[in-house]
Amino acid sequence: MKRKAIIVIFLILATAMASAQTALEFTEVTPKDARTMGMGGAFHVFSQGYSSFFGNPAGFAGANSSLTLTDLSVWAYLAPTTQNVERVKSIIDGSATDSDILGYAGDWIINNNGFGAGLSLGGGWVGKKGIAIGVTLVSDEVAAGNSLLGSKLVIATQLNGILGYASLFKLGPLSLRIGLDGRAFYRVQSDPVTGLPFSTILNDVLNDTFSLSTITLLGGYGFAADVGLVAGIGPVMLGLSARDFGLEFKVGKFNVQNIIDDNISAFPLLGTTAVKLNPSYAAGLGVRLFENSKFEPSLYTELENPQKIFSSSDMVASALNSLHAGAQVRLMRFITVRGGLNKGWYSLGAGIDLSFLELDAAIFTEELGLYPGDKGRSGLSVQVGIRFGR
Amino acid sequence: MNGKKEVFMRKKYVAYCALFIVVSLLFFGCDALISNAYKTMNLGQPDPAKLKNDDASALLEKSGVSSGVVSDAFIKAVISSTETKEEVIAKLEAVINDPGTPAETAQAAQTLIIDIEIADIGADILIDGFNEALPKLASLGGGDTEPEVADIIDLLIPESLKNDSKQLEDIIDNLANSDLASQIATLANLIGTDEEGKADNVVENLDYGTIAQTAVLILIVQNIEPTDPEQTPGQAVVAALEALNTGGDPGQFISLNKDDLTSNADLPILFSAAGASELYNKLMEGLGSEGSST
Repeated sequence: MKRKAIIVIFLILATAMASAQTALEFTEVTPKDARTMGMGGAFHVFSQGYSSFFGNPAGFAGANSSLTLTDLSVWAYLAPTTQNVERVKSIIDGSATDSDILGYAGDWIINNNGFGAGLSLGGGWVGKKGIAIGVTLVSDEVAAGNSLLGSKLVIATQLNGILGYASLFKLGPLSLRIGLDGRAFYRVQSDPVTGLPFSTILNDVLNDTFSLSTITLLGGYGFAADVGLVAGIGPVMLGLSARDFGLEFKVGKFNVQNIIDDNISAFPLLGTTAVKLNPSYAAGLGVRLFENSKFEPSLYTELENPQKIFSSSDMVASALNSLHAGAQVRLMRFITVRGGLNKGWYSLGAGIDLSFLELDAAIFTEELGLYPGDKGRSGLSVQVGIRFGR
Repeated sequence: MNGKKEVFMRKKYVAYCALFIVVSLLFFGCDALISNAYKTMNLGQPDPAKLKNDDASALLEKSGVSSGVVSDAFIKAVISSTETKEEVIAKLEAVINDPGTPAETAQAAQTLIIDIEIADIGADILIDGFNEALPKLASLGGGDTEPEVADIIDLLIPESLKNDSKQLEDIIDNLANSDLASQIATLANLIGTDEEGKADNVVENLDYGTIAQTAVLILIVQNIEPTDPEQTPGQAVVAALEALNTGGDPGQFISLNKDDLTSNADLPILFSAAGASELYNKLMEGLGSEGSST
């Protein structure tokens, strides 16, 4: 009873937090980890264990506990084609001229709809009784635009301390997992609307006139909550998750040179610019068969922000452009093969689970435009985890 | 004990095999993977028939122009039917001509018209290829040295078009004969200037950088003058390119009216709106002028 009361209070609090109105809006920095991206981005609602720190808190309620000592995901928004591999090699070994680099950047901005990289690093414990505690750092940097001159660099990094709880209820054949978590975070972000002038930065770097003091960022701390539920009958699951309900928080400006000069004290704690978090929702349907057996297939479909479909003037386009579908087959309890459709774009991934060491990789393309196939950005993701339990 | 070791070794070999397959797929299967299943089946794409009946507000929303990234699928749908294109442009022009329209809506509508017209004449390939050329153009000439026409032509034409003279000729002619310069002037007029000569009504999220870059290219093309009055600008550029490739003098076929380009009043406004006045000044210096933007 007491547990249910806590959950209800959290839900009410989360709804109240979501109604705050402010000038700037920040969207959650989501890791592009190999497991999720290999399945077309369809592993948020039905996330389990450590993945639930970024997905659905209901996934904390599982049969097994897990201790993640380290989970590192690194991704690059660059199609791993032979041409791009050669280009990157020529930049690294110094054989590319300045105009070659400008040309590559322009090409990646137009033909890959932007380029960049990111990482997610963290660890945590998810207990048998549904209690979870973790620390995560997610960073994502992308240069994008319609041209090199018009391109913007958007930087977003968030450090989270997370405390979560989920509970499993059994009602005859129906199982119901309800979870929530609270996060204290510190966010560093370039202006989400104007970004940073990438063309100017790149030219300054190439001309040796670049100064870190020209990179102005926003920084501040805040609190957020995530909630979710997964209902299941046998292998079939239906889930909902809502993330990033947060109180309005304040950010202050600083430049990167300040960090070099003054270290951690340069990060502003008491800014004056109000920021509102932009909550995200997901609904999904999944099937997980023969759990923990030597042949374990599963299939997931998710709709991202399904509420927007109903207000869209073109519901079909909006639904297809919100749909993530993915499947994975876990073989012999240690090899996993994944595939998916990320708003229509194909993705592919695989992983190996060697006792406590997990290795995963994926290639993906994600849609940034308003219609399926409009603005696809390809990338590559690699994930390494040192984890005890699943 | 041996049994356990055997299982471990088997797992290890399977793991190596799996890793090899994954790496192979990642590096050799990527090109085939970069396609969209829904687009291939024409699912969820904008419908030209519906767009024709949309009002200007819906058109702006569906184009994505106000978020800074114009949808290629939207543009493709608009230009797929002459009737749709004309209806769409007429509705956008009505919004621009309405004095009560807010600056952000009017500028977004004008930007969208420019994008539609560029795509309609097939010049988007030339515009995309101009990314690399713009900074190089700024570094041409300088001081008392004016850039050679050959250098400009070499920068202007992307590799993909250098091998297709018919397409190149058509694009140049279409661009030269288009009303895009006046469309750009309308946009510059909507932006306006403040007392210091800087861009006045700068709208957040509108991609002025790309518009400025596009404007430079359009003005260069529209200021190309064939030496032979019998030739069209497209024919003259193709002839100049052939001369360039065979060691001849492209200057025998075309000249560039740099004065019209460097004295154009719209460019400094667009570059100022993009926060790239310094680049504008370098560009004008590169073309043999002293630059004028503040």
